[in-house]
Order: sequence, then structure tokens, then C-alpha cells
Amino acid sequence: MQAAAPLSPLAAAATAPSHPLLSVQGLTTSFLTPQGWTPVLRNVSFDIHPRETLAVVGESGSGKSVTALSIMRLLNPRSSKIEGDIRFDGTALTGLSDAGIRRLRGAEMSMIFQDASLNPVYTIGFQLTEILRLKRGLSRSDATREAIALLEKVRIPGAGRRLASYPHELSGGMRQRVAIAMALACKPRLLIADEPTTALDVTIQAQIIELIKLLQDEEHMSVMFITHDMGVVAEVADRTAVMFRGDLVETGPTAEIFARPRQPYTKALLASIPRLGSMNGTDLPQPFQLIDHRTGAPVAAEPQPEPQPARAPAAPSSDAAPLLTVEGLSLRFDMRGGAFHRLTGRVHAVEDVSFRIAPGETLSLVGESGSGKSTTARAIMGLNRLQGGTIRLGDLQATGPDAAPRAILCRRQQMIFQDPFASLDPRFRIADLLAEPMRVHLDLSEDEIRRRSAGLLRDVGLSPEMMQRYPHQFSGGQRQRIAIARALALDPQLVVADEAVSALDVSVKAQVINLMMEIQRRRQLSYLFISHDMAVVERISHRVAVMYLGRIVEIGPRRSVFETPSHPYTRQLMAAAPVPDPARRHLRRGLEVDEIRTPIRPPDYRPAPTRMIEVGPGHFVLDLPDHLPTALQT
Amino acid sequence: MPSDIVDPFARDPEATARPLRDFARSYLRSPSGAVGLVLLVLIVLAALCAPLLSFQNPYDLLQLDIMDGQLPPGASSMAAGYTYLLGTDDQGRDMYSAILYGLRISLGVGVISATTAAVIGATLGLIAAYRGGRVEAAIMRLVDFQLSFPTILIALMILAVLGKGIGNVILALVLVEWATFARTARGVGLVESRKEYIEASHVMGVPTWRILLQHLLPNCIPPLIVIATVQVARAISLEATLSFLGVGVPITQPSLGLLISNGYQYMFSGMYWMSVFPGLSLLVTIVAINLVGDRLRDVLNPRKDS
Repeated sequence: MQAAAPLSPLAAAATAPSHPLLSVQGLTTSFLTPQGWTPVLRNVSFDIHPRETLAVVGESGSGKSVTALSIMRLLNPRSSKIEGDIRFDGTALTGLSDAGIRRLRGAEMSMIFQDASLNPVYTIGFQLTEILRLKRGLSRSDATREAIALLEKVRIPGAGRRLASYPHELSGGMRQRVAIAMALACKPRLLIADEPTTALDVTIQAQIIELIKLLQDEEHMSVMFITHDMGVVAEVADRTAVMFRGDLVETGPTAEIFARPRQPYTKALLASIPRLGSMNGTDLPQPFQLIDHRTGAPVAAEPQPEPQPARAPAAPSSDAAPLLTVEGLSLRFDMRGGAFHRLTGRVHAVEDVSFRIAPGETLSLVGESGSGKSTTARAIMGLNRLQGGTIRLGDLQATGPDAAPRAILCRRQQMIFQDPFASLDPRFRIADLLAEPMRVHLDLSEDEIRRRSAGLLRDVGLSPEMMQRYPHQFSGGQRQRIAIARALALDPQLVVADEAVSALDVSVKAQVINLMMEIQRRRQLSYLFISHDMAVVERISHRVAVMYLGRIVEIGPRRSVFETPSHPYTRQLMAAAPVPDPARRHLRRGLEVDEIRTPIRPPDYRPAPTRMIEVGPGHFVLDLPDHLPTALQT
Repeated sequence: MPSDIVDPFARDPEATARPLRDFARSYLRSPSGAVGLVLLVLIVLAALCAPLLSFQNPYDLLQLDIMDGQLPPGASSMAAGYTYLLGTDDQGRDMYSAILYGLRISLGVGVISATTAAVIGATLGLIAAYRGGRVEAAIMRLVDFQLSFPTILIALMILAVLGKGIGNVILALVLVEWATFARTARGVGLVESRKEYIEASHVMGVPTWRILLQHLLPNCIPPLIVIATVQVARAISLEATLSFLGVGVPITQPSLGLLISNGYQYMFSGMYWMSVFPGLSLLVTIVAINLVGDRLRDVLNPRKDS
């Protein structure tokens, strides 16, 4: 295991004092399992200097959170064992009593978590002043004044009024701001941020990252920033530590790591990150060039069965009859309340959405949470009832009185879900999971079903010997492959993938995306690909539709939308996506706080008619001046 | 076949599933759970093999000798020539044999009523969870109505109308207990039916009955097993209470509760054994079942998984 790499002259100049604030040497953490003490961290060593930001990056199970919890000593002492030397400003933390470390926690080093950890039954003001009074011994009125100052520091508008709010009354981004304010209450010298932006939308994530950077400058803190997202790393970190399965693989200045990764795993990780803008100048989707994480060598591309001009899926002919036609789709959910269960409003989840997908084409729906993209997908699959509009699948009517029977529609369109841990019945063997759609819809012998299932598993890169196993015996990526195999069992023409790769780790995500493209090429499938991740969408799509608050605000060929984004919201989304390029580290972005707009309308609301303007061939933009985030409205 | 598999998280292909063995191993990690299980197995075996383990059939009046009445534990029989380990009751019935036979009735009534109630309750609860709307409202209001009455009161009312008898006791117990199962099944079913694998089955066009029986029900079983275990213990004690009050099983087929009741009148004459030994057996049985139930709850609760 390597010790922390010596600082480059440039980075050393930025972090002048040589005396590290936090020094971790040979940290080994073990958990008690039925098999005895199992190490989950092995001999991890790194330093954090004053005013420095260290990013600890790794995929799930790499031990990055356990590192933070070991430093804060927040692990259960009965089932975990911490060995090694942890020094905070020269004091050995490992030798400290429980009371001693409690004095440090919050006061000298603070932590924020992925899900803003606020108690739902107390107001924000109560929770903030409680810390100030307990830890800093302020009087009630001083604490209130200080709490307001803290909320202003994290740029919460109307801080004085917000003290009386309960956590549920705030949006996710606002709650994370309050959590940061609480962490800063005692002016800590080290802030540990454990995936603080993972649960947030990209535009909110950009704001929170900006805020942390700004506060670090103001408060002269050191930050240990834990994340799985290399884009975030590039934006925040002076130095980066890469972890893999409990080992610290590589540490160094962020620019060094990105420019000249030394370890195979780091190379593999960097190769699998989708980079926004990397596809400029190309029209067609392109698979990732993957790198083996053990050898660092590029993974050989699949041997081509027959000579083909390009590995990428060919361009679908746009003049062919569309496979899926969605016209004027609207979905509303009634909200009822009051004594007589009256209609108090409606959630206009999807409002007048129209698009087409050609055979063999991938259309991506992008947008942030609440934009209606998943609701649209579910409506196409028949999981939601629509209020208006028509859906046609090839020559079949999918909605209305003369709709085709579900059984026939099911065979032509299938869906892949977001969570590979929830979408497979845990009590079914893989063989039965794959066989179920065939047993229901096709009249096949058990032998034939078994042969087809084996073929499906091979198609998604798994071995047919795995058929007798249960889902819990597979990793997330393997399970998502199984889910894909099952979706292909009835040989559908359209596959709807609802955030199908969002829950996967980066290196696995790239593989699954490559697999989906390969399947598309082989079977001439169409995809409706739902995602919030602009960089992934750029890789896989032929065409892209951006959704905001229930409407499509921009739709067109991928190249056209990404190279000349024409709607202000599209431009904001692209600007907010973190880019894995350390050169952008000193870029400062706006900090303005958005009022989150909701699609809840009064019962008598009449939506404005949709007007689309053509800005390029097949590239349309919504012309509705007030259908924008408030900050973008002029 | 794609050759680009460099998944760093891929699981060991040699790993095999032994759900039963894993389950047994984690169950036995708790000493109290293990003790409960051993006791319960012994009790069930004793009840099943009662005719082999006992000296007389306590229900066969011809085998009883009135001359042996009210003998203390350890006394020997006048005529038959065996020792009454736990004494005899006023009619010369061997308490040891009577307890073994009583255990059969108590356990039988408990298990039959709890499983019947589980089937009825779970079915209604899952239908409520899956269908929602009016069906759910109707079923759950019935459950609320049922649970708002004290159980003993309902059982007393039913038996007062129908009269004594093992069948009637079982019926009363089922009517009292189904609501608990329905409520639990609905709770679990609501959680499970919102999961993506149920939605995935919809999308694949799997028929509703198949989703209910093959996907929803098996995933709701673990908490129901826990409830069922505890409910068996509850049914046994409720049956004992009813029999003690004289509205339960008939005098010709005494359960543990009826034995306690019969011996109770001799309690203050110093003949403690007629009611204390059946009482102790009842206590041990219920404690054993509850220990097993508690352990099952811990093991089957996914959140307590290591």
C-alpha cells in the first residue's frame, strides 16, 4: 500500500503549512462477522492539510464511508475494531476516551451525510440553537441570532423566517444547506462530507458544491469529500484518494490523478466515466472503451461476426414508420383534502407530451426529479392511467376504447427498472425469473424454455450455469443484466429503460450501457431511455427530449441538442453537470437559490397550449415563456 | 457473447444457495431460541406419543380406579401396580397421563385455530393490500371492529350461543384471531406490492392471481410465520381460560385448562398436584412457543440481518 504521494510544488504552495491537520497512518478497520473479524479497510494512510480538500473516491463497498466513520469513531465498538494511527492536529484519536472524542466531534471536526440528517419532529431553529447552546454555551437569544447568521451563511433566503420551519417543509437542497449550517455551527477545522450531493438533482448538486467551496474559503476549513462521482471530484478536490475494496489504491494531486493515473483500477475508473461533450461532432451513439481494472489494458472489443462498418448502432432511417407514437399525452393526479374529500388541486405530472421513436432508435428523456419522465414511461407501459392523448405501438392502438389486449402489447414492449435489487423477485431462481414471461405468453415446452433462457443469459454476458441461483447471489451489475435478459425474453420491439443504470457503479454502468447498445445493434431494438444523467444520455441516444415540469421543453437529434442547446433549461442542465476535468476546478458558478416549482395546480387550471418552434432539422424547442425555473425567467 | 465483462463486483460463481442451512445456523445462534426449540420439540413429541408414554388412557373410565383417587405424587396404585408420578385426581385419574392427553388437545386446538385464522386472515389482508379502494376499506373496517372488542368477550359470546365442544372452541378462536393476521398481512402486502418486482410482473403481463400467489404471498410469509407462532401460544392460553371458565372443551376430553379447573377446588385442601402440574405444563408450553416465536422474529427480520 502506498503512503500519500508527496505534494507537487504547486499544490504544496497552495497548502503552505507542512503540518497536516488530519493524519491517518495504517488504518485497518474490521467488522465482526460470523466468520470472525473481517477487515473492511486495509492499511489506509493519508494526510489532510489545513485548508485542503481531499476527495475520497470509490465505488460501493470500497470502504470510503467506513474510513470517515472510523475517523469520527461512529462505528459500533462491539462489532468493529479500529487499528492504526489517526492524529487530529497532533492528538492521537485512537487513544482518546469516548468523552474526549465527543468533545472533538462537532466542535473540531463535523460531518454531513447524504441524506440531510435532521430530526423531523423539531424545527430547524430548535435544532440549530440546541447545538449552539450545548456546544458553544450561548444564551438563548445569542443562539437565535447566531442561527440566523448561520442560515444566511449557507445562503438560505429569508433566514429569520426559516427558523420556524420543519425539515419536511424544505426541499432536499435546502435541507442539505441546513445540515451544512449545523455542521458549521462550532466552526470546525475539518468537515467530512459523505456523499453530500448524491441524492440531489444536478442543478442543486452544483449549488451545494459551490457552497461548500465558498464556505471553505470563508472559514479556512479542511474538507474530506467522499463521493463516487469523478466529476464532483474534479470540481472540488486539491488531492484525491482512490479506494477499491478496502484498499487505498492511489493518492495524489487531483490533476495528476486525472492526467496520469498510475494504477490499473484508477485507469479503468477514469475510462468508464461518461464525459459530457466527448461526443461532439458525431451523430451516432458510441460504446465506451473499457479498461480491465486488474491489468489496466484495454478490453478487446467483441470479435465482429461479419464485417461491419461501425460498432455503433446504425442510424435508424427517419422516414420509416415510427414504432412508438405518443400524441398529446397528459397525466394528472387528483389531490383531495378537507372534511368532504373535495378536489383541492391536481398534480399535472405530464402535460401534452408528444414524440415518436423509429425502429432501432434510442430516444432519451432527460430531466430532474418531478419532471414527469418516469410517469411518461409508466404510462407507455400501461402502469398509469392517462387523462388525455394517445399511444400507438406500430400498428396497434395502446390506449382508448379500441386498444389492443395487454397480452399482445406486453410481447412487443418491455421495461427495465431502476433498482436491480428490487425488480427481481428474491424468492425466484434465475431460471424461473427468465421463464416466467415465456410461460405466461408463449406455448413452449419446458425444454425449449430452458434453451431460450440459456441463450438469453449468454446474450447478456452471463453464464447459463447461473440459472439455479437466486438474485441475492449476484452483484448489482449482474442483476441488471438478468433484468435485461428477462426484458428480452419475449423478443420485444421496444424496451423502456427507466433510470436503468442510475443505481450502478460507474465502471459497471459503462458496461451495461455498452451491452444495451450491442443488443440494440443485434436485435434492431428501440429504446426509450429515461435518465437524469446528461453524460450517459449523450453516449446512448440518437435523439433526446428534455423534460421540465411535465412538458418536453426541447427535443431533437442528440448532436443538435447537445451542441446547440436552445432552451434555457437545457443549457442550465448542461452547465450543472459535473465535468471530470480538474481544469474546471476554479470555475465559479452561480449560487442563486431556486424556488422549487411544483406541478400542483388549482382544479380549474387550464394548461396553455403547446407551441414548439423548429430551430434545426427535427430539433424543436418549447415556446412558453413562463415554463422555466424562476431563476431563469427574465 | 460479449467479452467485455470486467465487472469488479461480480460475485463468486461458485457460491451456492443453501437458504435452509443458513437459516438454521442463524436461528441457533441465540441460546434462548435453541432452548425454546428443544423444549417445543419435546412437548410436541410427548403430545403426539401420548398413548405410548402414559400408563392409562385417562378418557377411558374403565381404566380408572376410584380407590386410587386423590393420591399424592409418587404413590403407587392399589390394583394396577404402577406408580402415579404426579399423583391422581379425585376420580383416580393419573395426572401424568391426563397432562399428556390434555397437551394433545391444547396443542391441537391451538395449532388448528391459528393456522385456519392465518389462512383466512392472510388471504383477506393480501386482497385488501393489493386491491385497495372499497375492498380494502370494507375488510379493514371489519378488522377494526373485531379488534375493538376484548377477545375473551367475543369468545364467551360465541360459545354461549353455540355451546361447548372442541369444534366450537376452534371456531371461536378462529373468529377472534383472523383479524390480527389480516392486519399484519395487509401491512406487509402494502410494502411488498409497491416494490418493483411486482410492477415488473405487471409489465410482463403476468395474470393477477399468479402475481398474488407466486410473487406477493411468498414474500409476505416470514412476518406471518412469526405472528402465527405467537398466536398458537395465545390460542392455547385462551382455550385454557375458556375451559377454566367452563365454556370450553367438554369434561370428557379435558385439556390443560380444564385439568387446572378440575384440580382448583382441591387446591386449598393441600392437594396442589391436581392443578399445579397441568398449570406448569401449560406455562412451559407457552414459554417455549414464545421463545421460538421471538427468535423467528429476529432471524426473519431483514433489517436485523448482519
